[in-house]
Amino acid sequence: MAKNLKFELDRAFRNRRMAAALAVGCALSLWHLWEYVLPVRGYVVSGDYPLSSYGKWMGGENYSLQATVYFMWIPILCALPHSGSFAYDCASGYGSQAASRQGWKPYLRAKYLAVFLSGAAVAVLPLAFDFLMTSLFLPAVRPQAGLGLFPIGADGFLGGLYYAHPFLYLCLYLGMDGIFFGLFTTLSLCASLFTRNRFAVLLAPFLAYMFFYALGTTTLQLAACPAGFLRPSQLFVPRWPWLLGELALLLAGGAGFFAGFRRAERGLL
Amino acid sequence: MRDRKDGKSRKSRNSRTKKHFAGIRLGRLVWYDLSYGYRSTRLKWLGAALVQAYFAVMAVQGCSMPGASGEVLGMQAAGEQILGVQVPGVQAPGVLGYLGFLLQGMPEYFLSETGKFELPVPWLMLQGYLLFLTVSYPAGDLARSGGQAIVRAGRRRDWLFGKAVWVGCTVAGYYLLLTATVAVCALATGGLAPESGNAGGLRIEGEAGCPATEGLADKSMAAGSASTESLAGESMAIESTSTESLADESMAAESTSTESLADKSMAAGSTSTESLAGENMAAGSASMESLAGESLAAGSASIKSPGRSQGFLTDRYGIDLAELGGWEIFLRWWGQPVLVSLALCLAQLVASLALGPALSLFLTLGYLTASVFWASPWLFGNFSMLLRQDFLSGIPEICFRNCLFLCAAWSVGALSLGAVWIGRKDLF
Repeated sequence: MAKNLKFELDRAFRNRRMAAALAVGCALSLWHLWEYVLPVRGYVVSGDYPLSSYGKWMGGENYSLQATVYFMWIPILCALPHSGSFAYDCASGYGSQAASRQGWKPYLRAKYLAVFLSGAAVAVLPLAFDFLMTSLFLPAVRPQAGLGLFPIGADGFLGGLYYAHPFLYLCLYLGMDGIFFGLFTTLSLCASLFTRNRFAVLLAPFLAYMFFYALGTTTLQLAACPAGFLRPSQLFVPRWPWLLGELALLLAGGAGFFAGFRRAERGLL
Repeated sequence: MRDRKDGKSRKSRNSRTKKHFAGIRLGRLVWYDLSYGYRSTRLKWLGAALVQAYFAVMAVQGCSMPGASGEVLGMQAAGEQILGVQVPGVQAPGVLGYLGFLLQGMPEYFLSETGKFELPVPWLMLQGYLLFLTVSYPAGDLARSGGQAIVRAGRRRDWLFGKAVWVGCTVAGYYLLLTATVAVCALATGGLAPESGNAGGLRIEGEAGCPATEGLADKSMAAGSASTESLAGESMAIESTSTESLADESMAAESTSTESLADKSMAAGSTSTESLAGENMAAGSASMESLAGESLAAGSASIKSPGRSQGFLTDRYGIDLAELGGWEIFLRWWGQPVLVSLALCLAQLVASLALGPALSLFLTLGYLTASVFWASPWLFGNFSMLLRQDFLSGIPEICFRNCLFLCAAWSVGALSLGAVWIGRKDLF
C-alpha cells in the first residue's frame, strides 16, 4: 500500500494539471492582494486602528469578486489534477496491472487517498498563500468585535474562537475546507463507476457542490450551501446538523465507491 | 489548342466538382454534429429540463408571493399571517413575468466592506447550466473521433464550423425549452400575457427603473431574493444580494435600498447592512438605516392611498410595457440572453479545444461572476440581466445595440481564433 500510495501521490502532485490548478488559485490570490490589500497597506503607519490581515485576506471577507470566484468554482480546479485518473486507469489497462500485482484493495485505497489529498491541496494551498501574502502587508491584529470590520457575528460558527484565537480559527477552518473539498473531489471516483466519460467524471464533484448550493439558496436552508459555509468569513453561517450531514454524505460517496467497485468489477480484473 | 481548351474546361469542371462535394461534406458534417451531439448529450438535456422546471416552479412561487402584484403586505413566512392592505385580484405574471423573474439577475452591485457579494441564483444556474451543456462535446469529439470527422470533412475549419452550428442550435434549443417550460407555468397560472392593471389595487411608486417593495412593521416582505439567514424566530429568503439574520424577523425584498426599523427589518437587494441595536437587518441593499418607528422604503417606494395597480411588471420592476414596443420586448427578454449565451458558448468552445473543458468552464463561469460584480457592457452577462438594462438601471451602455455589436464581434473573433488554432494543431 505504501508503494502504491507513493506512486499515486507522485502522479497526483507532479503533473501539469496540478501546477495549472495551483497557478490559477494563486493568480486569483495575487489579484485580490493587488486590488484590496496593497491600497490599504499604509494604514499601518497612519496612527489609526490598523486593518487586520484576518479581515482583509481573501478568505476573511465577503465582498470581493476574487473570493466569490474562488469559493464558488474551486471544485472544478480541485478535480483537475487527479480525479479522472481512475477512469483513465480503467480504460488504459494500467488498473488491471496494478490490481493484479498488488491486489485491488491497496490500489483503491491509494487512489482514494491521492484523489482526496490532491483536491484538498488545490483548495487550501492558495488560501494559505493568500493569508501569508496579506500578512506581509498588514499586521495580524486580533479581531475586535463591534468595530464592524470583521464578518463573524455573535451567532457565527466558532465566533468566540475567531475573536479569541484567530490564528487557531484560521487553521481549523482551512483544515475543514481541506476535508470538505477533498471529499467532494473523491465523488469523481464514485462517478467513474457509472460513466466512462472522463469529463463527466471530472465535473461530478462540481455538480454535487452546485446541487447543494442551488438547493440551499432556493429552499432558504443557507447552512446547506458549501459555497457559503466553507468560507472562513462565513458568508452563510454553518450549522452542525448540515455540516455533519454533508460530511456523512460525502463519506458515504467514498464508501459507495469501494462497495460499488467490488460489485461491478470494473474491467480491472 | 484543343488540348489546352480541354485542359481549361477540365480544370473548371474539377473545381466545380470539388466545391460541390465540399458542400455536401459540410452538410453531412453539420448533420453528423447535430445528430451525434444531441445523442451524446441527451442525459444533460434531461438535466436541463429538470433544472428549468425547478426554477420555473420557483418563479411561480416567487411571482405569486404577496407584494408581487401591487399588494402591500408583509412577508409571508413560516405560516405567518399576512397583514396588509387587501387588494382584489392577484395579477397573472404571464410568460414575460416569469421569464423576467428568472433572468432578472440583480441590480448594480456597490462594493461595501461591510456588505456581502452574493450571486443571483436562478440567473446563474440557468446560464451556468447552458455552459455546462455545451462544454464537453466539441473537445470530446476531437479526442474520440474528431480525427475521422476532420479527414472526411476535408477542411479543419469545416469541422469547427460544424461544432459552432451545434453550439448555436443547442443555445436556441435551450431557450426554446425554457420558454416552453415558462409558458406551461403561465398557462397554468392565468395566461400567457401579463395582466396590465387592476382597479382598486394599491399603487407602489418607485423611482424609474427601481424595483419597489415595501414592508410593514410586523411583517417582512419577500421578493425574489437569493438568500437570507434564518433568524431566531423566522427566516425568509428572497432574491437579494445579501441578507443577515435578524433577531425576530427577516425581510428581504428586491430593491436597491431599504430602511430598517427598530423592531422591523426589511431586506432588499442591496449590498450592505448595518446592525441595529435591537435587531440585525440584512438585505441586499446598498444601505440601510435604522429608524425608531416604522418605515417603509424600498427603492424609494412609498405607499400611496388606494389607486390603480399598474400591472405585474410595472409593480414589481417598474417596467411599463406600454413604453416598450413589441419588438423591443422580444429583444430584451429573448434576443439579448440568446446572443449573450451564444457568444459565451462559442468562446468556451474555442477555449475548451485549447485548454480543456474543465478549465474553459471555470474561466467562463468566472467571467459570468465578473459580469455580476461589475455593471459594464464589456462583460456580456450584464446584457442578459433584466435589472441591468438601460431602461431599468440607468446605465445607457447596456442596450441592445451594444449587445448585438459586442456579441457578434466576440463570436466572430472567437471562431476566427479557433480556426487558426485548429489549423495549426498537430492532431495526428
